[in-house]
Amino acid sequence: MNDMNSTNKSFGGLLLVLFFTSMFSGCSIQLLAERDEVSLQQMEKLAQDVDLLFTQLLYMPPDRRDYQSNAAKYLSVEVKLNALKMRQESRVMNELTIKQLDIAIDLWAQDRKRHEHQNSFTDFMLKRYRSQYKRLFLAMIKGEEAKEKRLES
Amino acid sequence: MSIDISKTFSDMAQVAGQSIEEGGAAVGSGITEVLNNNKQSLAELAQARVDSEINDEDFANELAREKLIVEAEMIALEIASKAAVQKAVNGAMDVLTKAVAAAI
Repeated sequence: MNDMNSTNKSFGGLLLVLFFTSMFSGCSIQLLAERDEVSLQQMEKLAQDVDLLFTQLLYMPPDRRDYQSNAAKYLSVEVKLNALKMRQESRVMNELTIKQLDIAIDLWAQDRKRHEHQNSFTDFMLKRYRSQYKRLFLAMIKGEEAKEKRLES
Repeated sequence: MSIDISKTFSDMAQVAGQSIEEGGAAVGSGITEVLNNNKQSLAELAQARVDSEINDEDFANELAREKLIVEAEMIALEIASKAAVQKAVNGAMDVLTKAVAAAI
């Protein structure tokens, strides 16, 4: 309860500082990049591509879940993740989305290497990875959707 | 024409308060959702280790992955909080600007 009160006080203090900053600068404040529909579409497409890979692997018998047959799909997702990161880097006040994307890029590289090294996947791990990437992309999409839309002039 | 500054400030506080209240409620339910997802995922992981479905190395790797996923989920809530503050301040300033414009 005390934690909540101190959080509310800090939050109120921050609001007050931002309010007066905005008042004296005479313009609206910007804490985040504006919402970008293209980024949202790219995030949704990536979520689909990753879901497709893990679901396809899950439908295959375990002895056919080799890395080489799926290497092109890993490469395709990696290229799309890099393109999405490049788009995010060109936007101002967008560090938080870049941080989310860095997590996705690191995990993807790690998972590609793991599949290549082990050359197989258990049902348990496939279901787990599919669910984790769903949570990860959903977090990115929710973050992007929380940003304000650019006002049409 | 004069400006009723008390009423204007009261309107500004109301607009800001409403944005913060809406944003705060969304962040609160978001934290509960993240914790529930994490709880379910960790419970499955612990059970898999107990059942020897995964070894110690996989278990440690999976714990590290889970931390990263939760971090990404928490970042989404941080973005939502910042968006609520931005909307509150800009909404309040908009009220003031309109009140001044109407009084001129």
